[in-house]
Amino acid sequence: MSAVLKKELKIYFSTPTGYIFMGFFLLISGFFFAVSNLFPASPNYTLVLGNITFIFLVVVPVLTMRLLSEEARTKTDQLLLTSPLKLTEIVLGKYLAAVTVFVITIAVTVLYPTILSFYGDIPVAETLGAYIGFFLLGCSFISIGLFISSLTDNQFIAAVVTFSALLLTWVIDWLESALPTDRVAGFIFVLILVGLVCAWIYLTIRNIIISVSAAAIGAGAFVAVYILKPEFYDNAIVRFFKWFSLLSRYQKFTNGLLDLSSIAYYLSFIFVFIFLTIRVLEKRRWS
Amino acid sequence: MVKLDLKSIKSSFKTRKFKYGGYAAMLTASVIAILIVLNLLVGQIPAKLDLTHNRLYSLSKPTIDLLKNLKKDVTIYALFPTGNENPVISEFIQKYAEKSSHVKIKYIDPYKNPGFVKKYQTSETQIDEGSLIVESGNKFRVINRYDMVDYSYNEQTGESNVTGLTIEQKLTPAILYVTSDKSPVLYELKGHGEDTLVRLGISSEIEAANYEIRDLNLLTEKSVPQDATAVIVISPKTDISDIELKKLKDYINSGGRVMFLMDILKDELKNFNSLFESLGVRLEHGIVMEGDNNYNAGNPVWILPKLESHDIVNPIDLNNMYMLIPNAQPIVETKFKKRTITVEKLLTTTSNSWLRKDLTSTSLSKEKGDKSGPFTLAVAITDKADAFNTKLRPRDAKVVIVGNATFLNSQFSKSVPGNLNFVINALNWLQDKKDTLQIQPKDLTTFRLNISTTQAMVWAAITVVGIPIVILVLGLTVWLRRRHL
Repeated sequence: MSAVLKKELKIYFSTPTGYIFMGFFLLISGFFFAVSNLFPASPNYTLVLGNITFIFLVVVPVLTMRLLSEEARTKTDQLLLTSPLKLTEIVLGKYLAAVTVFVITIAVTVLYPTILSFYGDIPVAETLGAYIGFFLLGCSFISIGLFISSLTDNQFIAAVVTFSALLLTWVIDWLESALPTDRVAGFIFVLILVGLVCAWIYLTIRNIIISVSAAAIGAGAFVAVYILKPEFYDNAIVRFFKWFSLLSRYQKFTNGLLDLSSIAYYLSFIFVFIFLTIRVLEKRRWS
Repeated sequence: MVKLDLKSIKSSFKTRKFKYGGYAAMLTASVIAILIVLNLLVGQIPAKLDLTHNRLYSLSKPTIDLLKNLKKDVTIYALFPTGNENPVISEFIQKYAEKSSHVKIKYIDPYKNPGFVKKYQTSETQIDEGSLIVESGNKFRVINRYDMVDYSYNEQTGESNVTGLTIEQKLTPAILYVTSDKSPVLYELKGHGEDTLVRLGISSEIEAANYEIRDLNLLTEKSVPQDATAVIVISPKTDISDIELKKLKDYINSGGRVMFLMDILKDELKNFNSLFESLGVRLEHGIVMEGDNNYNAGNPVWILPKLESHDIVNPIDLNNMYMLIPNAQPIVETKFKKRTITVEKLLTTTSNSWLRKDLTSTSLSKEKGDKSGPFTLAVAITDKADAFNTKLRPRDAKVVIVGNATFLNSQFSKSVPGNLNFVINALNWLQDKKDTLQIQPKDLTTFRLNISTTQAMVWAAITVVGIPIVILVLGLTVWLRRRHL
């Protein structure tokens, strides 16, 4: 794993990628720092961390687009897949390389609150908590980028799709108040989800009987819930998206709360996408 | 193409895709399912660490005690459009539900359920989006969104800033109110151009101190109602009639409790003054002006009164609060008064103050004909219970008189916390209440950094321009060097 990590880090800092990521990140965060802390003389640095999350939209695709798609393009993935390294090690190494660049960058931004502390008291615990959230949010986005990079052999496509996927996380949050909240809409939404899961099952195994029976069992269970406990479907769509939303959980950190369930969610989110990436590579071995 | 004949279905169980894909799909699905269940379980643990320096999300001891002893079910309705909840308020009310299984929280979208809000609306109150409704049984209380934060008003810039979070001070008494069987009733005298607590914008604060506010019209009522805990008279513009005077006197004589807030008028209110004189005091006509700059707010008519030693004003002093009273008239003790009466001073001015008799004069300094201070601006009067005739006066009568009502205008009461505190303390004193639910507001003021504009400019230049340029130059050199290899 460390071999992959070292190789990837070397690539980041011998090509413009790492510098573009760091430079752009620090430019924007520095700007927000100056505008919300330095000029108004405010010690509240958590505001900056709360406001600059949109940078991820632009910089995460830059950071992750190359990770696996480049290997596929240059056919070096065949070498990797047949190497004695385990798939988990390869994927983790690549993921940790991107995370390392991210950590180096936010380590530079620690300079900002340090500057503020020269001129007065700053809320240390709140700032620390906001950093933990910021780090976890960034790592989650990077895991999405890694996964998307494994799906294509074109860097550019990987970047665009990653950008769109991240944008979707924002858009869903914005649209929450416009989503339908009544029971029937919630019920239909759940049925659509069941349908999607079954479609995915069919596409992977091409077996109609299992797919249809899964659909029947799923739909049956949710119909039963609808009859026994219809209030389950009130606000179901909004609750679903809110629960899965990376950004609404991040808000807790910037509000000064260290929330165990949010930390657990981010870690599982990262785990799932690394796992999915491994599955995608695994699939190349047998299909 | 999907073929649905038996043979192809049978064979579909034997393909490579089924074998590997089925295994892969099962694995993926079970990993995701396990993680979701795990997260749902973790979500049940209310482990949240409050990192804020002012313990923003932590409940104070009186609230925790109340919640522990809660016996009745309480529902808190939070009126937010779905998906647009205020995270700070949501976190905060969540704490209440975590501490007591009797507290339920329901989010109601006020735009999708307009009928729901209507149920709680009265002609005088407006329920905005973002408000809370606390309900238990058939009692409820509305907490307006604007009452959950404290604002400070900057006179120079005209800006108001959020300075504190007061959700807890409103929510905890509201729960106490809806779960208690009886709550003290405060009657507001009406019919003489009085101001009202609603119009002054402080009704929610009085309700938060758990008073039920009702109107009192002494012309139609036979007497002050039996259930009255106290009567409040706010800035009457015309005098009371003789009948009303008698009813008020009877009430006081039978151990009643009244608070008078009297603004300066052009003419004297004879019946009011005769009532006051029976209590051993009298209002003196004129405006008190304070010459000592430590005791005025930049203008001699804006008095920062001296707080004397009394249960009503001591808490204000203890909490380092002050009061601001504009355009006050003085209260003088009469030479002769009943032996059962004691008059205690609450708010006074310095000897550097004077009384402006001529209300048309615009001069802000002492003139000839102005009477010299010190003056008393507020008094607390106790008329001892009659030990021999308990029928006439079964308990002490208590009266608070303030030579001003303007200090309760939202302009003053919202920015000077001592003003409101005074009224609530006075009401508590009137109903002999000692153990008040005192929850301090959460301080939200962030202190400014002691950084000069030049220093800020330098740091801004370093962080916005310096650091990114260094990195870009570094990147460029690495890239160029590799290109020319």
